[in-house]
Amino acid sequence: MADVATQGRTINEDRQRRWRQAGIYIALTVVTFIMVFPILWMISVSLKPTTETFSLPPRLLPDSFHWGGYAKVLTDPKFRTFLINSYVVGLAVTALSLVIGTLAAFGFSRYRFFGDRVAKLFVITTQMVPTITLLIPYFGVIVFLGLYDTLWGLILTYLTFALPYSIVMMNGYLDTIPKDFDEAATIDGCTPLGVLVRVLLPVALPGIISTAVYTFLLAWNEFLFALALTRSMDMRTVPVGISMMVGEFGLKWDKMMAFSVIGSLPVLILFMLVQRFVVGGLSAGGVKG
Amino acid sequence: MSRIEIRNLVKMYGAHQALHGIDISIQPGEFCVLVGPSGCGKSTTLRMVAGLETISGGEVSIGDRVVNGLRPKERGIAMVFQNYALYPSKTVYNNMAFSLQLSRMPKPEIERRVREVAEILELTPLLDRKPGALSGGQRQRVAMGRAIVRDPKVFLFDEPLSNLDAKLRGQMRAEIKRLHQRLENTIIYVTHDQVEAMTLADRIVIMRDGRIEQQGTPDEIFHDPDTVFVAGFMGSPPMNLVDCMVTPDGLKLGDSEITCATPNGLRAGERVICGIRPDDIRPASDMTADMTADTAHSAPITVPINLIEQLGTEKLVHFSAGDHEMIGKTGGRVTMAEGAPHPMSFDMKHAYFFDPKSEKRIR
Repeated sequence: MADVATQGRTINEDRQRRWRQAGIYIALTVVTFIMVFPILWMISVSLKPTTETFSLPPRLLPDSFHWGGYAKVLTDPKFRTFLINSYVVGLAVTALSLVIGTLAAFGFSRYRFFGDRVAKLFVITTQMVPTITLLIPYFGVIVFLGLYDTLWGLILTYLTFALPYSIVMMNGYLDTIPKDFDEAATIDGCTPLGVLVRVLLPVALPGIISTAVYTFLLAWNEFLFALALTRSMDMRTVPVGISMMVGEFGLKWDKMMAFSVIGSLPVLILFMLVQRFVVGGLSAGGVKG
Repeated sequence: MSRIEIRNLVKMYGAHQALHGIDISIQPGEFCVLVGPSGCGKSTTLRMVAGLETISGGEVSIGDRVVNGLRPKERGIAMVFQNYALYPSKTVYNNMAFSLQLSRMPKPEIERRVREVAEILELTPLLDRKPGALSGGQRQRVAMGRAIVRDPKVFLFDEPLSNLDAKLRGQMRAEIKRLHQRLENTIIYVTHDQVEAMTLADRIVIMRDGRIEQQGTPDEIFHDPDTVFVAGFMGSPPMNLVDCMVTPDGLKLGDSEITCATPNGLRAGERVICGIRPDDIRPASDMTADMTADTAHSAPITVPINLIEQLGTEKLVHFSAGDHEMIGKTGGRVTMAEGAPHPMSFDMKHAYFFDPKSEKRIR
């Protein structure tokens, strides 16, 4: 009897577990659809002529693929400039913030010095100010420095946004690496900088990748400051370029979406390639930082 | 081979003094083990010799050079860490070659040295692997290999075996001993494991609360302890240390009296701490005719047996004498019943007497 009761209970538990799993999968599918639909719609619209964009009933797959939007974007030197600007700004911000952020994080992680805690707290509190309130002061500073309407103006601005994240994320990652490595390397003959470059950075590679991706995305996606701190077409970036396609009397949907696809794909591909590291890096920072 | 002189070494952490003037003189080729409980300052001393901690006061010399102001790489030392500290992104070969590469040694020479040491430590098949793909024992050997390739004047070991299981620890202990016999380098070895200290050391330094309690050969430390702490620290199971009263004929232990000779300075009625190792307390039934004839053996006292631990070749006999819990030993095949009173005999020839206040030995 007892065996039968136990068996019955096991079957019930098994059934419950299956229902629970089914619920989780349904919820995940819905959320995935909500996340992915705008991307699919963007790709779909980019492949339709403007006349078909709002045809009823709406269709995700067009009757025939229309590559006109892509052709217009790719042959227009203006859009190439936007892309190049975005890459230059994104890569420069990423490189600078990685170098400066890693050095600062190394200091915070490995050395105790007067005011270190306050300095670390200050780095974090800079992120508590709403970005939009900084627009006018930044504008003033950038004009004062003579960097208005230059890529350096954008790079410097984004660097100030990205650095605190880089420092906090890299600090969190470096904190997870035992100090025994530093000591072993010191005895092996490394200088402090040698310890960082030769021993810690190879170990911290996932942290570096996640920080780099985060920083690059931050610079790549930024719109407001890019709009305010640049004026000429030669200095515009992708987000501003996309917004410029919104005309007073009409929208060139195919062109706009084609440019959006061209602008997003590299980032999406990059993110998919390194998402394993990004998740690891963020959680390391979250636990330790 | 280099001589190491540590003179009046002091370490301050803010207002806290971690080391109170340590003096150790280690002869060339000597295997010196620093042993003591956690927080006694043994690792701090080692790290100060290595150059990983600043020296607050005193002097460290390696060979004929004072190394206080020198960077670790300039001290001619190599260190093996408790957690091995192998670089995870480098192969075994590169882990071992790293210090030589930094010193800009020619590649063929690096290759020769690494392969030679790998051969000694049986690491040749593992040279292309990364540390993550090695077992604990293999990692330990790589850590030693990394130290050996540098051909240092001094090896420093910081609890290198504490992460290994008991069997592997025994094997590695023997390997380190063999290595020392082969290389004959000066070694400072930190451990809290007294078996490691006894088996490896030419000289043991016992530390407590930032001070040296006693230093000497393993024999001296074990058989001639200076303080209650040393007597209780070395030996497993530990020495029985019991508070007794001196009587005209010996000692009063609880309700029983043990007839024995006491040091000359002691007078009847004085309190004294008596130390006697479990090996020197045996059931009276174990006594041979020779032992019974030996006047140093006390007349057996009958005590209740609380617990018997079977260790295989011998048994530990836990019993009560007055308020004191004590441990004696008997053979593994001897049958004794727990809970029953049993006569136990004390070999007082090997008893130690300590002052209860200063905890120093009364000789």
